[in-house]
Amino acid sequence: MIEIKNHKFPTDVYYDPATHFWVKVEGKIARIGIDDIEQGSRGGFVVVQFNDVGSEVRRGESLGSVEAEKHVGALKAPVSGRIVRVNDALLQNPRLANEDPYGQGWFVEMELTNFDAEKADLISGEANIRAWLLAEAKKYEERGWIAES
Amino acid sequence: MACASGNSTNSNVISVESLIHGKEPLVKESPDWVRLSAASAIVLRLQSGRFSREFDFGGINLLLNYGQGCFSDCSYCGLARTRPGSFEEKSFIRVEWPLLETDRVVQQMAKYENRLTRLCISMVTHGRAYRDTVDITERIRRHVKTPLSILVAPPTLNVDRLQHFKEIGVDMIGIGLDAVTQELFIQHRTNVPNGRLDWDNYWKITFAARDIFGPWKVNCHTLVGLGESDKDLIDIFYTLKERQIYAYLFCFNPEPDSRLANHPKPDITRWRRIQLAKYLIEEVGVSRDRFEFDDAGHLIHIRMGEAELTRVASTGIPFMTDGCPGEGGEPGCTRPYGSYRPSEPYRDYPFLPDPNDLKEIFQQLRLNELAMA
Repeated sequence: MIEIKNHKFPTDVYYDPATHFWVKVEGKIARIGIDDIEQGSRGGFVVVQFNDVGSEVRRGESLGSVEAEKHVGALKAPVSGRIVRVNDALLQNPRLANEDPYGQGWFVEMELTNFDAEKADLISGEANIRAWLLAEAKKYEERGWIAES
Repeated sequence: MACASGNSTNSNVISVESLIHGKEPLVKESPDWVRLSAASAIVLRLQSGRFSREFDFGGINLLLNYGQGCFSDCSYCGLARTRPGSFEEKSFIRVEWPLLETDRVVQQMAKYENRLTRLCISMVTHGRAYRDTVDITERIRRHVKTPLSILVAPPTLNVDRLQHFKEIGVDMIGIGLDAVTQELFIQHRTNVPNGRLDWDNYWKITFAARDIFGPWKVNCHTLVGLGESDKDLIDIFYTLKERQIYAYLFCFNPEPDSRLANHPKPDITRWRRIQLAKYLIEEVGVSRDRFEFDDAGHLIHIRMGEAELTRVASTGIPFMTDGCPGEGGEPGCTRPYGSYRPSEPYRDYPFLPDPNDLKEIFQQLRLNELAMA
């Protein structure tokens, strides 16, 4: 786990630089969620919706949407696959994504269909993750999206 | 919308003793602590967050905080006395208002002062509200020059206290009348479990503030959707304009767990037409006889050509958030997502609507049905 600007990031997952989703792969199944800096910058989650279990989603396509107190936006899939499970607890209590983004606040599980090709677009490894996040934290700070420490 | 007011018998000022029954617990209270809107916390970098659309935002809204909460009980308000939950847990206009140290908030205001357009302190009905508002105003004024309004709680005020607000640097006063007829006011703010707010006292404070602060330095919040007719609204717009008092429009937005939690929001077409009507009255100077109502008080026609109405509406300005201005007269207090969720259509725009927004606005307005040359 590394910490940057008061935000925490596990290093045993992949990150999608376009969406700030994390992807934890076990076999052909990936559990997906949003990282700490992105959840913070969106504010308190109010409503989360996902596509139906069984639906196919390609990387970059919408797998659902999230509405926060002052922000609404699509959730774009970081990898291609079939949604095999959604986090019902999160649907009931969207704040879990703010409170525990890597644990109880996970979004969906997907059966991967093109991961070997797509993982090149994701960031992994502690050094790469740290370098990417330092640049991202600076960007978020300049845009005024994260609180001053 | 505001939740600030009260009833008085022999005096317009409620004493501490009359409001506080028993000793208050030691909690994070004003003046040393203050709540601020989520949008304000974001712009002051006291909370992470961002808006769906990027725009300049500099209106800072503060709210007094007490362990015992607000002593009013308005049917539509998130801070209502009998709404379930402790004051700490309650939301106001549907979102959480972070509670922060006042001096820290003022420090951030000073740091980001060049971005700020308008500051506002919202009182609540509480025996200490006046003195604490003075205290917070003075703390702000020592470090920040941005224009400062107070959304007052009439039961806590009198003429001398209003005068003192002016002397310490407040330039505008807001009165959260909300209900635009006496009947509705009594229904939603007086005859409620712990209500007892007084319609006459609200107006007394409004007119006193007008005398002290001057023309166009006082505003009355008028809430659309409590059961009033279009005619009721348009009548009050003229009444206020005649006295050089602004009417600020607010759209009813049901607060979860409040007594009006299941009460519907006003229809979007009605809301847009009220926005346009108010602009025509306040800024274009359209006379009262141009507005035509049915027997129930619904606005059915504006006696103006569609082209003329289209020209006014096309500016987009009638549909922007009503709020106290910045130093140069620009929109100062814009409360993004204050009366609608980010996933819902904008009710009032915290920026000038763009061509796509205007297209949507015109679809909602249905001017061809409203115009009558």
